[in-house]
Amino acid sequence: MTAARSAAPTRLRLTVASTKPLTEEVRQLTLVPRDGTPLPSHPPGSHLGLIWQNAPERVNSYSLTGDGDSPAAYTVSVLRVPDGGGGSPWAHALRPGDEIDAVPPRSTFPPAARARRHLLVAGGIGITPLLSHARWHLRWGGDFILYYAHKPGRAAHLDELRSLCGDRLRAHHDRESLWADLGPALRRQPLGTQLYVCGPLSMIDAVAAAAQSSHWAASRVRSEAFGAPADGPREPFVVTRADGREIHVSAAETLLEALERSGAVVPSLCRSGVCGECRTPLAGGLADHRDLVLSPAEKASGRWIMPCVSRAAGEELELAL
Amino acid sequence: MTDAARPNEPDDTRLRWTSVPRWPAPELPAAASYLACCFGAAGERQASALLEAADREVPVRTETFADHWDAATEPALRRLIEESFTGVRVILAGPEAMVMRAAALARRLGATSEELVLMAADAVSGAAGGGYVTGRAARRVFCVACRAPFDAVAALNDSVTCPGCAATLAVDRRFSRPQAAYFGWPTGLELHQ
Repeated sequence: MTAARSAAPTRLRLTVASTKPLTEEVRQLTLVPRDGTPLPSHPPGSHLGLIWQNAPERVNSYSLTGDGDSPAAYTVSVLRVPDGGGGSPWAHALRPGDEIDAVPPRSTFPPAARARRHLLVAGGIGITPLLSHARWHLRWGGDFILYYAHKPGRAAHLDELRSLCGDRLRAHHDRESLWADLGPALRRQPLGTQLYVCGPLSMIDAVAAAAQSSHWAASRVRSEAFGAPADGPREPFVVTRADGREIHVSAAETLLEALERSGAVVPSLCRSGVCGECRTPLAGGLADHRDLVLSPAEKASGRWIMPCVSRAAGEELELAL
Repeated sequence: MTDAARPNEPDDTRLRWTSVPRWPAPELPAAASYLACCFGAAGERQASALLEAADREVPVRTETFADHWDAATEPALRRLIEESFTGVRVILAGPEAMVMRAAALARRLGATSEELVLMAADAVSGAAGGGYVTGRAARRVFCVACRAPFDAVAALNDSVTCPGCAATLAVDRRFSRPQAAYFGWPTGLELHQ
């Protein structure tokens, strides 16, 4: 059931201008406005939500790879995930002339405005937002180094990065050589350097841990996870809404799905604990937080829950919704 | 000046609700290295006392400056900070006016609050939350009339004269961290509503 919204959300009406395979698994889409209206600018590292199914609406977010300044077109690079929700095979099947609606760019991973240097670390398809960062730094003269760990022969954007970045690019195709390069570099950066990591969760954790052991301040490290957070076992529980109604959440569904079934209006986008769109106030009960959005302090405060992935830690939960 | 003439004489309770720098007892954070910039002998004593808690393996560099800002202070501080690596914790110790000015410079050069340890040698140790520099002390004052900072020796709420525009200013209990200065408001211009 699609939830009615109080105000029609903004949607961009786009047309596929071209598609291009970058590797066997990654396809680049170039999207232009359908009616000629200029596309919104965006900070580097933003993502665009491609709506690949209506009723119920399903949105896949892809990092925009341009620098974001007055773009004539949006480009995204889509990794095919055969066992995912179905969005990436849909994107791979798109052909020039196909029409797409999209959620406008959202910024969750921007460059730090006042950093003296930017150390960018990408793993696999996690290169996409950092390609956007690199272009922006090249445009505005920012000091950056880009570490790109990829599988041999399967590196999206590698040739383009080589010609853009020259010796600021450090490409590695195994873990050992990445760490032999990056590990010492984390201890030799000028004060004021900001670190950015995008890639699989395991890589983000490893880089964050290495930075922490080199005493980088926590605010110096920004990351964006590609890939959903680990799911846990699903137990049924009961959730009470602000009006006193009780909703039973079965083991087979998410809290968000149960809320939507009951008619609640909960904005959502990624439905995988990453984007933060469905943040909902908690009124009582202990949550089992499974998202990547809330900070440890926010999780401990008991004030918020991301119903797309998080559940009750016990048998009951109360929402201020 | 009598107390009756200064009904707003600040006390620690009132100052808690202002932006006047508060000085709790500092703790030494873990670090890859320490850079201590000390202003005057009192700052040097404070920093070395704090650094006694440091891990012996962690390199420490200590530099001592005069207890007033002169032409050599900024280039020397700038060079020290620019030569530092991420993982350093910079300890700034000495008179509040110097420490806050050095901290503003460090932030302009890219340091964050997490990377700075600030200690004011002239703070009066107060309640559990930390003391303030309340009495007559070296203070940087930002003249809101001509929009320039200058150095003065004054207590909070004292009147000072701006060397730039000759306005008589009251040293406010509002402190700008980027300017490292107390706001100075022209007196005799109170609004009557």
